[in-house]
Amino acid sequence: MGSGRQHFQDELRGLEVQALGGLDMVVTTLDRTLEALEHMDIELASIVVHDDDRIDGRYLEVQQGILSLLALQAPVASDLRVVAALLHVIKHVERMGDQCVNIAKMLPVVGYEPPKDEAMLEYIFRMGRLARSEVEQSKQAFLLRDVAVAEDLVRQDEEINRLNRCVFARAVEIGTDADRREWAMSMMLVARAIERIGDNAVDIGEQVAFVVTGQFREFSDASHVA
Amino acid sequence: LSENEQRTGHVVEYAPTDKIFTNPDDPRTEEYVTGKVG
Repeated sequence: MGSGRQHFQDELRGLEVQALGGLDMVVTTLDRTLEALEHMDIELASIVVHDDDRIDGRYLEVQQGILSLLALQAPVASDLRVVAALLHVIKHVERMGDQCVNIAKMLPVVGYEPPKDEAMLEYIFRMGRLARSEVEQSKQAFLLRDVAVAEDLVRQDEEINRLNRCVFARAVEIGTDADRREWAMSMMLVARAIERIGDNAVDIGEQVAFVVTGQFREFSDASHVA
Repeated sequence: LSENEQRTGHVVEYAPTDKIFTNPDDPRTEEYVTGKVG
């Protein structure tokens, strides 16, 4: 019996490593995406798009592993919560990869030498750095089962949301030049994609709290504007 | 019992697997198998 449970624990641990490793893949992809945006590197953007298959593959691996574990081992108590949370984590990993693809696909549309606005780009790159930090922190929170670290994600996410509103405001006042306005609209979509990555990281934080406490609660309620 | 003969817990419910997972008598059993506690 002991070896059976040990096998189960090894499998569960392996699935957690795989799922949280997906967050490392997101960080690498986000780095490449932001670098492509900074240098208007269409080739690098193309690599981001094609490499998303690797993240999608990781999603399928973890999802299949979780289904097998549920069917064969019938986990209970905290093990069941970890399994359920990992299913959420890997779904968010897949969504964050897709957001990077959304940004990467935007780059050829705006052209090689677009009419940039440095202030707007500065907002976006700050958002990117914060989103990267959130993804790493969500992984740490899960690894350590640390609710305080998970809840701290909200603080960073509020800054991302504030910067996203700054991008919007900047786009509104960008002027009448059609090319410049088109570029600004594209950058608003880029900012929106980064903002969503932050939201995904916060959702992973909520899963950490669920694993630790057995209670699910939203850290911030988007349906009630403060 | 632990190594020093101290009681570390007790059995809440004993029944066939089907019953434990689908219709346990003790609400604590249900909370355990559904991941709410433990």
